[in-house]
Amino acid sequence: MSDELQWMIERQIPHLRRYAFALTRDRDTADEIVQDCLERALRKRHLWQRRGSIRSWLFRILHRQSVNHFRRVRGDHVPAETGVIDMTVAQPPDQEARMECLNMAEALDRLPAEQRAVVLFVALEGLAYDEVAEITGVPVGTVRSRLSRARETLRLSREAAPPERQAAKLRIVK
Amino acid sequence: MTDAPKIREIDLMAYADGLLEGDAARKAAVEAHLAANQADAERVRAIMRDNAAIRALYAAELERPTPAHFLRAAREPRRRKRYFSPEAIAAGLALAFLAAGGGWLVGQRGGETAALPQAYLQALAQQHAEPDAQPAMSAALGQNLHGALLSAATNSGWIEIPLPDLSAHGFDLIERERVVIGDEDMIRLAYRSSEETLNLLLRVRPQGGSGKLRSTGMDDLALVNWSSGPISYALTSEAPLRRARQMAEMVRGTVGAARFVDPAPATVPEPGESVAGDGLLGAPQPAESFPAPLQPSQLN
Repeated sequence: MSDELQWMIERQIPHLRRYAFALTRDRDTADEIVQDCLERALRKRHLWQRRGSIRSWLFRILHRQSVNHFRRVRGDHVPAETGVIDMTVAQPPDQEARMECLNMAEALDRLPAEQRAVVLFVALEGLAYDEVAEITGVPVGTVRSRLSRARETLRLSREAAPPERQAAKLRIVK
Repeated sequence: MTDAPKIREIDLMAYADGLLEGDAARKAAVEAHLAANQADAERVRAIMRDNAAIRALYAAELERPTPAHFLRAAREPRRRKRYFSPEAIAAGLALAFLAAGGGWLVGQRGGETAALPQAYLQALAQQHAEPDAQPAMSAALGQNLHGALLSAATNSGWIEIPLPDLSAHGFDLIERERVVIGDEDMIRLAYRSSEETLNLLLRVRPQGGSGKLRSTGMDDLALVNWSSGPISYALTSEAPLRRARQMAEMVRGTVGAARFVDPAPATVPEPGESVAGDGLLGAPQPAESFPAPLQPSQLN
């Protein structure tokens, strides 16, 4: 493998790990998926023909690995346990922000896997809709509709949050 | 005077997702729209808040050091641990020692075509070879013949095999080629569905009878082989082993019986004859465009 390609792949590893962890909410599972992704990328490097971004190519592989993972475990929802969130995600500076994060983590967990993936690609990784479409292998319109449905679910989850969290949220939003 | 662009839902979402940064005109139009539409403005703000919350949730992830094993994974392939059933081990023994020096790949021209280790091809080619057997067959794949025509070593007869039609299972034939390993000829057929790719390798064998499925794994490749009458079949796929066996059952249920034909069809090339052009993808080709055999040097 050329040093250039290796360098580009290594730069993406933190993003791959972050996405995989956000998707699975399990550190070991996420790392296993990323490891499989990297090994597959290495074996299939001839298929990356320097068209498009290395990021899209790697995320496409990672997406397929994650789809296979969820197919194996026969479930597309993961629990959002407060303890896990506390231990693994950024520690917000105050209680209100912590509540906001907790709300969001739980809301994300309630999304079907394909919607959660699209939200994370866009909101977390900042990918364009057509890039997400290429990664997930669905039309751009499908990406948009999944995104819309996911955001509606997130909105409803926010509104359904316990009163103490809603109060916290309202103070943040001011 | 130009009309202001109509603002659609996708514009609002793209604005909220920060995807209009490179389109100043549309961004300004969206901002003007939001200034006049409080409901849309609130929706956009909610999306931006959610995006910010998601980023905050995983903000620390990018700061975590990358473990060395990830860097190694990006630099050199790892041999995976695989656990075989006794039956699979028996089937795989003949392949295992060859795999150590095996290279990859056949079929890169097909883009997504499943890879094949050369070692496996070598093992497969030699699996049923007899010491005194001369080049086992010549091969042709012809649309007009609806099958593969195989010349036995003695040139005393021809065997016709209907090409397996897997379309009922969602697989289309995407590639076919003649693979020559040493003195052994094989035909490789590649099929692809919306999610999976499989290779099917066929070769003549001197024995008759039929054998049960035998399967094993090599790196990320599942291998299943069986025999039916004068033909040995081998299926390779990057799917899990269990799925590969399902595919093999699928193929086995589709393969038609081989039969002798006489006289030899005029469209069958002489052994060693090659025809220029490798347009192997797409619809079945006429026999005139029979592909040149792949030499071992091309398999790595």
